[in-house]
Amino acid sequence: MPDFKAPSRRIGFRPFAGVLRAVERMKFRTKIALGISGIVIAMAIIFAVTLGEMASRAVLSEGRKRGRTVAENLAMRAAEPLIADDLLRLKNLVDELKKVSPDIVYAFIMDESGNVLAHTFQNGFPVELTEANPISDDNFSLVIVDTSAGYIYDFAAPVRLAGSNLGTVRLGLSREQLLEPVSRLNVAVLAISSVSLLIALIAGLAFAHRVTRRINLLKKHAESVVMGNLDVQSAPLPTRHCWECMNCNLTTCPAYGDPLRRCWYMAGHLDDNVPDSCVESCRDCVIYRQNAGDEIQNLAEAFDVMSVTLNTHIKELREAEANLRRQQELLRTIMTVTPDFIALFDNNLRYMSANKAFTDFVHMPEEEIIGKTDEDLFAPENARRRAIEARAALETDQVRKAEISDTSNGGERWFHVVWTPVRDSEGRTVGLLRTSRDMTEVREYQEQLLHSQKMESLGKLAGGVAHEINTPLGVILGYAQLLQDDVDHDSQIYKDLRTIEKQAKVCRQIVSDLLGFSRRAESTKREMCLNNSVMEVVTLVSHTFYLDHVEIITDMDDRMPIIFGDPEKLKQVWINLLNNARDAMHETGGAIIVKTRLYTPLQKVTIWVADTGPGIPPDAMPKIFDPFFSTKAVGEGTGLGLSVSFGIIEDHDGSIEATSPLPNSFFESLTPQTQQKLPPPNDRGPGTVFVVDLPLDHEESIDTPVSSSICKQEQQELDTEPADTPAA
Amino acid sequence: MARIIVLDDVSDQGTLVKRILERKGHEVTAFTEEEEAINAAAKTAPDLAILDIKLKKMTGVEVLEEIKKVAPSVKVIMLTGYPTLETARESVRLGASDYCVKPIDKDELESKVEEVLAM
Repeated sequence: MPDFKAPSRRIGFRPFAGVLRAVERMKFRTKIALGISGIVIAMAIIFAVTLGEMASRAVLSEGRKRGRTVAENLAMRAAEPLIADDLLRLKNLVDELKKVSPDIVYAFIMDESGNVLAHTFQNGFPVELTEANPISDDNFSLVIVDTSAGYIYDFAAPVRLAGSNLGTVRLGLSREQLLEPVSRLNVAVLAISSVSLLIALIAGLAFAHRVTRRINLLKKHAESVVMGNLDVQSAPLPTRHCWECMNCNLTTCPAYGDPLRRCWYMAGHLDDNVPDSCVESCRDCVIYRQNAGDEIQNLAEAFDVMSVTLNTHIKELREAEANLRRQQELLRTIMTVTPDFIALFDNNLRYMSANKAFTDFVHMPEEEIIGKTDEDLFAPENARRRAIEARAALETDQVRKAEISDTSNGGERWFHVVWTPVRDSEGRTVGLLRTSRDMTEVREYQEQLLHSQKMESLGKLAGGVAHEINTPLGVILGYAQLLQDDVDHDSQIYKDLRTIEKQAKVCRQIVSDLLGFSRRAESTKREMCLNNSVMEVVTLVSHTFYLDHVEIITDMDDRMPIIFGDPEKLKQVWINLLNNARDAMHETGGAIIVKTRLYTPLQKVTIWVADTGPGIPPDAMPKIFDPFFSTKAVGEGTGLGLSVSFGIIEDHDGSIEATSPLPNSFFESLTPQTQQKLPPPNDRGPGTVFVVDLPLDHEESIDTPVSSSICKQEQQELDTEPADTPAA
Repeated sequence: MARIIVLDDVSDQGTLVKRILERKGHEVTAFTEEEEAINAAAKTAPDLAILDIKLKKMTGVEVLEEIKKVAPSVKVIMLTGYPTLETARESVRLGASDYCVKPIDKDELESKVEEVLAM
């Protein structure tokens, strides 16, 4: 924590901290070298100072003793010459003395009055020296004199003879000369220290190198681990593997066959099959004793185990991640593939997410939808309805369902929409999930079902009416016919009776149609030849149609498709279709093309009845199969023909539909022979085609001996007895 | 010239058939009650019976069965305003000669009767 209140206190530490940092930054090898050097140098200094001090003390003490002895000796020897005033002998005495030892700087002899009688100075006697060391009480005196040549021990000894003082002897010993051996000793100490320093440095550096090399290896491996390479091996290989030591052949043991990992790092991972000798304390274990190393090796082994454990963890993590990703993709695929619209809203009814079906529906990418509301995406009325339901779901916290229509993409589509409140783990409502399913088709089925139910009720009603009306109608018709015999054929009554008869017959036809319409379920189905059934009717009507300038062109599939059906009812269908086609071209004349084709893989046969008339107007198209719908003038048709035909074909599990105008592909699908017979395109109207699909009886019935025989047999029957007018 | 009985719950219908066939010189009796017709047939077997299927108490098919019991030789034409496959099949099984759908044409009736009588 920085202390801003007392910055001054930190200033003092700064240099120290700087040094510490510099030391911390140093390489391990430098630190060891510096440490060793410091210790050796400090030891040398301590040795040199202590030793030198002791030696110099001893030497100086010895020198002082020697100087006193020499001075007193000189004083003794100088007594006689002094008495004799033999100056020459005195001079000889001092000169000899000086020659004896090099550390004697000077020597001189003074008489009792202080006059210098003899001295060893070459360049004249320094006068002030006589006063430097005066003797008191005729005793020996020692002073240290500071001269230009260094410190000098000055010894003064009185010259006595028989109790009388004859003079003074002075001797100068050079302190430097005395300490000369001490200096030599110090040099020796220094030399020994230097050699020791060198040896210690080399040994220290070698040790440091050995240690740092292993640490650097660890560091390198750590870096490669950081880079993602976990397959590192830092510790050296063990000298003997555990399974070799134990000779256990225990292949189930995780340590077995792993030359890298030490078994004691796997403690806790070893299974129960490990022999008892293995789970004792590792310290006593022969494997440990043989393979355990120093702390750095321990570190390296721990590092290896760590990287293996890390590797295992990472593998598990990766597997978990892959699993998670797979789950996510699965979920995304489901959301993308489902045809339902799925959208997630927040509490403010803003889009948080939408699936592909929904984004395709609104023609907007998901990123643009997110953050928008229903008002931005739907028409106002639609959006309002959706918002009301969504808010109700949020407020009541209950699932809401509604059927909503949408006309935004042209054409009305119906959706079954479900709003489900989304709760978090604590049960609070945090949003809304909306799923919409396209129900348009289901609605269409519903409408078809309603329609067919309507038709069924209508059929029952029609049947009842027809039944009740048949008898009175028969009576009216019968009497009208009966009366005609009684009156003159030229009379007005006869003509009136003819009119009654004619109109009664129209009624009879209507009733007959109604009966046919109401009793579509009753039929006598059998195996029959479709071609024969169609051709029979075509042959029957072609002459009458020819008189109306309508030509019938046939293009039949000659593979003789056999169907299971009611021949009479199907003939009624063909007649109805042909009559309709003829009536469409009543004024203009034209051609009717009848085509049949067999589709074996689809197990069906298709019949086209096309005309070259004016076609059916688009607004009338949806109603043509409705009962009593007719475009014909009153009295010309009941409008039951097509609805009866529709019922008959449905009863045969088939389908019938109309297309107008005629598609060009229809003409192209005809055989070349048929195409030649067609009226020229200019004479053709837009035209209408009725397409009837009927299921085949079964597979064997197509173009097989059975089918041929059925068709031939029918043909023979037709040839022998001429066809009756089919029951209308 | 044949003896014909007609049974129809609607008397006008019976009378109509009677009128038409009498003109062809047949002796025709029209009934509206099933028992009367069966009794008449039992008394003197007619050449031909024209029976409506929908009657007051019985069905035409039942009457046909009864008549065939009392007079096996009689020929029968069934006449119905509501033809069904079952009644048609049953009538043929019980020996009806023809099965006609109402309203029947005068000419058709005449020719059918001639046809059946000629058999």
